Amino acid sequence: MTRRRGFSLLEVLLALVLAGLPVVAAQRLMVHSVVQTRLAAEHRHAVQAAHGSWERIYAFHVHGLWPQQQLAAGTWVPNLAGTLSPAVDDRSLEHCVNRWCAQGAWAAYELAILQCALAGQPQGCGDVSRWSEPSDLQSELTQTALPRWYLGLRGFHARIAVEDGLSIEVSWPGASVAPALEGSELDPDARNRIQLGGAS
Amino acid sequence: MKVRGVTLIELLVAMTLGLMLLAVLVHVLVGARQLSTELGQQSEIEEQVGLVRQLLAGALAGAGSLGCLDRPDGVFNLLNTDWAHLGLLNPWPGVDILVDPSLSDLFSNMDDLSSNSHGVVIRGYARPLARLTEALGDHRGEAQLHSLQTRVNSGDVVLLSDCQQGAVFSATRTWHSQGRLRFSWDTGSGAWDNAAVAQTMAGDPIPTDLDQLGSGFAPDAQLWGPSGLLLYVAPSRVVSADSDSEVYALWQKTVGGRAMELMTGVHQLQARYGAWTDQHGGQMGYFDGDALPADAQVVLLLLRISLVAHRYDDVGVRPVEIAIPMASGTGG
Repeated sequence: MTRRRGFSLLEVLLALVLAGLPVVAAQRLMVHSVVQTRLAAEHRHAVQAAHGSWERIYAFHVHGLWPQQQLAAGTWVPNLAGTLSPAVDDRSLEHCVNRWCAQGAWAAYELAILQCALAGQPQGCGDVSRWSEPSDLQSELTQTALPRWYLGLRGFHARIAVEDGLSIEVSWPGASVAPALEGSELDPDARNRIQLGGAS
Repeated sequence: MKVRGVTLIELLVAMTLGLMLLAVLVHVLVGARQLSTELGQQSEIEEQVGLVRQLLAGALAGAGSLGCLDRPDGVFNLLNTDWAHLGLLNPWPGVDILVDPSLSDLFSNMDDLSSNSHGVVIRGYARPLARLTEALGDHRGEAQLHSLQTRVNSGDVVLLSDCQQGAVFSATRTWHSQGRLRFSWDTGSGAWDNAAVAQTMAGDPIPTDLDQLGSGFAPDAQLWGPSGLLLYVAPSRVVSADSDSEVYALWQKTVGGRAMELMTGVHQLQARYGAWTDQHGGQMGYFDGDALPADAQVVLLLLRISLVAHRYDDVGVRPVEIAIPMASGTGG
């Protein structure tokens, strides 16, 4: 009777390498897929935030300012022009909820709303827009339940221009991936960008 | 020849390497699954928000409408002129935010409204009924119905408008024949019996007797029926009743229609006006339903819908904000 030998360590390692190759390939594919999905979600978040600001500004300009000849048709409140970043602005902000704001204060308020929306404040810019917070149920809930994609854009740069028509431009880093996947192969210098409005 | 097999150490090393590989794979899989689930929820929410936005934009296009939907100015003006304050016209034209909808007659038959949510009422005359075929006279009018199925019953409140002037009255003694409608307008003592004096958008008084309108309405004047939409939060009927706790939903109900569940899992609905005033060189602001100044010109409706967001064993509240310009969807 012949006694069969087992596998040597070299054989086992070789088998592992051969088996691992497709696994690694599948992993890279999944990481790529997740990253692309994440980037699509960020893109959608940026568009939604910019679109919300656009609708608000548009409504006031079409109905509130042009008919009264306070601004020439086709022009926008100049104070709306500005740049935004996630950095906390320590300037005191005059809110415009349940009180009237002059054009300049309203423009500053709108910029703060956009900044807050892009950053994805968990409570929907509660401090800025001063919505009353959800009562009863809220106290029992945990904020950790908020999905990761709701945390907004990191390292974004936004710009509102009013020279050639109103335009809202937002860019953010391409490496903003889910925490679990950070460190994967991504180009940190790549930036995503969206723009609403403006001269073509 | 005796060949030895794998030693315990070799086996452990091989297993460790394999497990490490597997751990990395599982880690990625779990991350992908979480992200996929969350994005699926996000997509579902966005679809529902898109539906709400589209619905409201359409309803707001007719809010306070003079029946001239291709003319946004008409919508805007009616919302912001004395028309909206006339007793004769109430409660139709305009957009009302009700901080406590349970106190309103419009919600009186709903006894299970969410106690912490606002109600929104959007109303106008956006339902075309008939085209005037002859000038008003002899205390009666005649019109061609747009559809043979359309009926205007005695007592129905209608708007007669040619986009320049209009009058709201309670039709009486209506008669239908082969798509034609004859109507009259008696004056009674009730709030809807043409007892009050209205006025045109230009501020001219309209006598109760429409015959006295002088030159009368343009040949293309039309009769419009009232349209209305209620938005509120009430218990869901989609989620089964055996749920541990009451699940609320965002509902819409058209006047004369059935209620429809728009979004399930809504914790709270808050609404606010975006408005401006020409005082002090023009000022803007956002106002709660019970804080709108008398001189405010409403241009925007802001909705904040707090959704109950589930994530594995946790539950959170995710606010979604919608901004809809008043004339959105009116074209022109």
